[in-house]
Amino acid sequence: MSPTPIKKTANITSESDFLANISHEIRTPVNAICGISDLLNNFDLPPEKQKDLIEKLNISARQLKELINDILDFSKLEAGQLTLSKRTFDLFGVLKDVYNICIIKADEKNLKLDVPLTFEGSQQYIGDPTRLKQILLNLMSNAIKFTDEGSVKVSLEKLSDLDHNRVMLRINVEDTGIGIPEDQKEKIFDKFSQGSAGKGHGREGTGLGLTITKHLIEIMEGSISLNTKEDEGSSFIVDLPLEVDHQD
Amino acid sequence: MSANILLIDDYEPTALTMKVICEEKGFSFHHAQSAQDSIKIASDTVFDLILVDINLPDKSGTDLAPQMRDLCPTAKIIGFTADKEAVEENDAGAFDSLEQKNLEVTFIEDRLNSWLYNA
Repeated sequence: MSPTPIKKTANITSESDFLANISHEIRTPVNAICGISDLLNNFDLPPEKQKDLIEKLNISARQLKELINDILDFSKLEAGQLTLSKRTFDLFGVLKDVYNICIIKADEKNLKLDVPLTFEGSQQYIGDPTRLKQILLNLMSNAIKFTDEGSVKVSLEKLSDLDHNRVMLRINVEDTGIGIPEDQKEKIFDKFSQGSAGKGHGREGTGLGLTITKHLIEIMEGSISLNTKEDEGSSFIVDLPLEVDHQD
Repeated sequence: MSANILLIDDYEPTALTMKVICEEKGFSFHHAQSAQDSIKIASDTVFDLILVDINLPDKSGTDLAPQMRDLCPTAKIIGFTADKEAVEENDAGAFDSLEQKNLEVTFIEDRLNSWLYNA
């Protein structure tokens, strides 16, 4: 499999699908939040049942928060109003944070999650750790979402020194999931696209995650490409220039 | 006034909300997370009411409805979806009716009465 370079964001082809999908994605947790709070208000339930309901209320509220964050990020990116912060961060601190979030979902699906926690290169970089974390979280969550058996593996490689201060890092997120059909490979980063796994296939999501990821990588002056084969898995390859913190 | 209810829906918060309301009202509640699970459950049990979500992990609820009808010919089968547009743009098809999901207590109590007893 040779990597497919990803074209610049294509024209909107499925805006109405996106609107239908996003309204469903918003209404589902909103219905649960309204229903559960109404239940807790109307019935004198035993503490165990109340605890279960509050846990589900929390799941729905978090899900809604993530959706709203995605929609707001997407709007900012489209308007060219998203700016990056610049500060020193530990690359493995970022990876560890993302691992701690993703391992819960991976364990639920009995998937092996392999994330490197050591690296021969520098560990301290200067950039926007929050947005880097968002890129990794989007790619890893997506890999877990579309993988039912096997593993999700992240690998890191220093490709080259760009100059005294900057290196080109390659981050590869590889899964053994359902893969992406040939005819959808180039559309997968388009806004509102969710490949073959949209409505009726039980994979929730707005179809904005990969679009946001690609936008973020581009404003960091990096690039993303995709290797994939249907029913065998996908590999998202991110090449990202990062400034090394020489005080490391 | 007990009735046997099956909810086919893969969203856990929805399932728990429906379970608590149905059990508080004295109904017997069963839950399936997928079309495949629902076929197994409905093969062994007679249901009075089957609520089917449209977006199931393994099959669309619309395609599942005729199979449920074969397995439980006397059950009322309702398409129950958060997708307002799907309700507005489609007819009931194989469902007895297609309705927009709302989990507030009075709404569900009212709908249960209507679905089960045509009240």
